Amino acid sequence: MNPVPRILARMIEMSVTLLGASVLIWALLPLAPGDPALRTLQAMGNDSPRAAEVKALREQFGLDRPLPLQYLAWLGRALRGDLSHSWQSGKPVGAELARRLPATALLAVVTLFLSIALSIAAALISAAFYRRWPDRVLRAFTQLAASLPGFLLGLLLLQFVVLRFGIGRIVSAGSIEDVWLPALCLSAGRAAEWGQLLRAGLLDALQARYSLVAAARGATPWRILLRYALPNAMPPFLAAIGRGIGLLLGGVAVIEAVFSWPGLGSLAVSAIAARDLPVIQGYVILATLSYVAAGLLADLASEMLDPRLRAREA
Amino acid sequence: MNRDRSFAGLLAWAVCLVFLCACGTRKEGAANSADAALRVVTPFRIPSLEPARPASYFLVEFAIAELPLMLDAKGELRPHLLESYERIDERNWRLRARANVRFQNGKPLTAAAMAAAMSRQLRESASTRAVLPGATVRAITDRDVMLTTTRPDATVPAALADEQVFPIYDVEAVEAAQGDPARLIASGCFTGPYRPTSLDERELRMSRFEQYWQGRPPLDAVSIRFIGDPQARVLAVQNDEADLALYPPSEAQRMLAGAANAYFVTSPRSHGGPRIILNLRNAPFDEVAVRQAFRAGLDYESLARDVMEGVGEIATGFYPSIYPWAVPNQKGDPAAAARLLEAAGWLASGEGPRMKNGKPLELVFLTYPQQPDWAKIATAMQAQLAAIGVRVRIRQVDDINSAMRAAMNADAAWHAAINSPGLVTTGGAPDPFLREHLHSGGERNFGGVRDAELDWLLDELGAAFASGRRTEILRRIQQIVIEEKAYEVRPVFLRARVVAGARWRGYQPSPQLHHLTWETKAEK
Repeated sequence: MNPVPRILARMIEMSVTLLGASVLIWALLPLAPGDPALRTLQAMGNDSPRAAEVKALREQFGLDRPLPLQYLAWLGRALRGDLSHSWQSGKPVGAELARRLPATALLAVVTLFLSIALSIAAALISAAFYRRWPDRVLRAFTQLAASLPGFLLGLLLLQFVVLRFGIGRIVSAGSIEDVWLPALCLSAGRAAEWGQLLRAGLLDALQARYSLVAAARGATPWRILLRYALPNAMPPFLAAIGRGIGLLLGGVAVIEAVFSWPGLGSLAVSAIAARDLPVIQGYVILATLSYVAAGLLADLASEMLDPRLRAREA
Repeated sequence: MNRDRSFAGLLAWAVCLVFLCACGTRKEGAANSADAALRVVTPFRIPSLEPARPASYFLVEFAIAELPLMLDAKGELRPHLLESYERIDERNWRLRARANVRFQNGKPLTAAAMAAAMSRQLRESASTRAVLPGATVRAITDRDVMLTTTRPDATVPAALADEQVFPIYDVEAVEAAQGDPARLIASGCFTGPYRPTSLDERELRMSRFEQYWQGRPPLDAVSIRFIGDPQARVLAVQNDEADLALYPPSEAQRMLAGAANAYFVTSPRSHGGPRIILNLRNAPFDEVAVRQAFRAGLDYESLARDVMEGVGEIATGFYPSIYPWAVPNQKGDPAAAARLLEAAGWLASGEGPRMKNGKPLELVFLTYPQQPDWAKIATAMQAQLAAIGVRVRIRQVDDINSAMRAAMNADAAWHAAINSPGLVTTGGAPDPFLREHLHSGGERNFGGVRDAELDWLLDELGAAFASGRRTEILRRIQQIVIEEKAYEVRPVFLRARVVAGARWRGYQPSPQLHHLTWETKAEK
């Protein structure tokens, strides 16, 4: 079946979602406490700017115009590919996001790699040793990892791994050497959640008729697990990964802040604190885009792996 | 069972391997600590070196740009890029540039160059225009500049030492860069002891300016990294990834007690602290006696010693004693506070708050999350005021200025608010803050002060050039604001603080926020 019409339909959905997200952000702006011009100056370290300085900045940002006009002006520029300039740095928002994207992408890729590797390993071991001690130990670990907040794990890692043992750095440069601790923090919860999902799928698949037939034909338990059960347990696992990729590419604000990781998440945190609306808007668009795109890719991957889904779509 | 055992063996090997790999990781920060370099971490990102941009204060604070005058550690104004200055008449000031100053690009600092920089600031910078609206500057000889104000203004010397008003730079070089950050860095347009070499969204790097006019700066290089998270800044010093962490949280003091690799260092004297604004529009603070009782009901020693441990200094008045005009007229006296309330008709009613005409003596006190220390102060004050029969409800608002501003147009549900707008400008002038907060027409007169004598005194102060007269006016203002009318309360004065690494233990934090000077160096 030709996937192009479906991809086009999803892209139209994505455009509507983006437009909705941008309207929502601009509509919420007046509800947020604080004058953006004052907040911008405070975020730059000017704790008590003079009234004239605040007024000049309000005029420069165009905040004295009605909100719908501000939005339409922004939308017009955004449709031409210009996401406006950051109020804090004065630099183009597109350039600000582009500078931060590689660090977030690196963190996302390593997190994804760790999460997938750990979850598949944990699920396979749990399924292979079902109700024996490796399964029990792993279940305890996954429950702990799923319930431990990421920022708490991050602080513990900084205190005990970095400060105590001198492994890694507090101030990350956004490089491959520094990525392991924040990636470990981010992947712990995901690996636990995805591992539990995959384990349940594997156990179901091991009870299915094709597994029993394979066993009757003399296949080894590991062959049944890897050759027959794993592909059948994959679709929900891949869908969960798709959702996870979208969230990761949007940046993971708290962990990035804890590890001073120079990615999109920490940019968003500082933009929100300073009410830097052009940057918040650009960030939301990028995050929405990555979330929807990752969901689409996960759907396509699931269909490729599972002929039943292809048949249903046809 | 055998399969279980071999799995356990495999797992044990994997754990050992990970541990050995981890132990082999090099600790990178240690490599830098032996260099003659300074690594600073600060929460505030430096977006651009353009001196006319808002919040360009960092140029002076990090010794990149310099000012005509500078405020010294004692709070006194000293000529810096100027050799001398004099007031010709009420509106004209003659400024004489030093002869031996050069920009980092090698050009000499002439009167024409100084006048060009000051004129550009007056044209392009909202901060400069706000301080000296309509002022003009021109070179009158090769070393003299004439500054002309539109009205008699006694704060001109303070404006010349204000880090956001007249940073001096080579205008030709700045304008030739046309806003390109890399070209601006390469232009060598400033005169300070450290010259920027690179700037990105994470870090500003600087190197020594060898031809600096006061002598050879001791540091080879300086790096300023921007880290928003306060805990991360402190941990960076502990892990030897930074030498100085600016603006640390006060909790860091307890966290670092006994640590051998990082020290919580404070300035010897305080230059300011938060203020508590009383909302005169709302009862019961429309009564002078209740405001005076509020002031007398606080235990200032405990707020400084127990609440702001190590960082606090007892608030003895409107200004810390370092200012020559400070009047020590604020002290806690709960018995006197109780007497004032009794005399005003607020009578004790068992365990609860005092009552008057069936109404309880209750106050809403605003704090905000950006300054966690203020919440601690508010909680302590709540307990202290409960002892004299005043019930305080603490409310946290996201934006304290907006919450208070709402009260300027309508009755708002707050009675007191803690804020830290500063006491004097970075050039040492108290006038702008007093006018903004206490003049009837002040932009930030959030408390609704309407006092004819105070207005007259503030107008007088703006045009009073003689230091004796200025001191006299400022003392009278303090008598009114603290003693007689109790318009404001100072809960505590705070010392400047940093977290310093082992080599920088002797670093003195600057209350004027001059984090780096040409003489800054590590301990031997």
